[in-house]
Amino acid sequence: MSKRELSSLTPKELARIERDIARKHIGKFPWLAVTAGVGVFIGWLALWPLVLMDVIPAWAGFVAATILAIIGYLPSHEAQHDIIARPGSKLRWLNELIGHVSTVPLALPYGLARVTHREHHKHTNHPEHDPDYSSRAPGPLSAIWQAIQNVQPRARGGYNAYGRLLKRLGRTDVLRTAALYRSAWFLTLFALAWSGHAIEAAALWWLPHHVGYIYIQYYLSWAPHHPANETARYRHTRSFRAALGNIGSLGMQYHIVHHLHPRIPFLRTPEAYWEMKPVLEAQGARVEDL
Amino acid sequence: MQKRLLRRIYKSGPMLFGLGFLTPLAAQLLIASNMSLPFGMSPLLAGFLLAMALAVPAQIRGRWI
Repeated sequence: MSKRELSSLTPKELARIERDIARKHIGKFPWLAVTAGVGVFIGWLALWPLVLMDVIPAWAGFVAATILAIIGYLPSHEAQHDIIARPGSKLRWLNELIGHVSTVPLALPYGLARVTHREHHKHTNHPEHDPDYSSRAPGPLSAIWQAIQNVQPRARGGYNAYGRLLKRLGRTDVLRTAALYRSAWFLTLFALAWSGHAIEAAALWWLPHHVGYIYIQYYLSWAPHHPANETARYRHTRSFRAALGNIGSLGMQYHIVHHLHPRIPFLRTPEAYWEMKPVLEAQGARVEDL
Repeated sequence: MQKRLLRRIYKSGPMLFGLGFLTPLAAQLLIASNMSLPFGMSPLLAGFLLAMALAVPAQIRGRWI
């Protein structure tokens, strides 16, 4: 259909075309996400004996663990949206397993990630209801600085914003589990440190957690929503050209497709985007940069 | 009671982190770098002082940086 023909359609008709395109990409089993989720966890576990036995230096372990921590968020993100298996289905256990294990290198509790991420989808860019609103910043450098500020003990954003949101939603069960998870993480770090493995613990878990968090905040929260001042369905998220390319940006160049159709598997969003782009343009979406 | 205790632990986060992680980390980094320490100080004491130099301001200000 030509641009001119599309522009003569009503928003409802355009939405129908958009849904038809989305449907073609939904429902396929995300093998790569499952493999990546398990692979990240096993790969990260394997780094421990490699570094502890001096097979590889701690700095190399740090680089590998940070890359794994960042990549690991993606399979968990698929699980957060039930893309691997829907609730009640035969493979639901696999969805939950991937969700949990792939974010271990990032030390991110899966339950907390799922609830807060879904709220982010429901209330994108809403100053009070979007738990990721605190990642808002005027430019790339200030976005990195803002992500660092969000992990400070008394920050408004980050984990403190997530905690406030869970309380407001009455999800004290998730909050309690997340608090236990974080406490167990800190106690493990302390135990490793006092048993003579502080450098290894810092290189393989503590630093990757922080660097990974900043990277994910930048590419998943800040970049696709910048300047985060609109809340309408076709305006709160954008497509953009990332300096680090699509792989370096964790595929977030096409994040608008994910927000419009969260059940499209991550690896199919570029294809869906290019098919949908004329329709999205006609809907007034922010797709002008890519 | 339990809630109050948990809140107190949470609020003392930077100090606990300084003692639990940064102290041994700094000590082990000093040992690994073969640095000679002043006043015959042990690496653990030096690590503790370094960790506290970061943790005490973080505890007061509510931010590490």
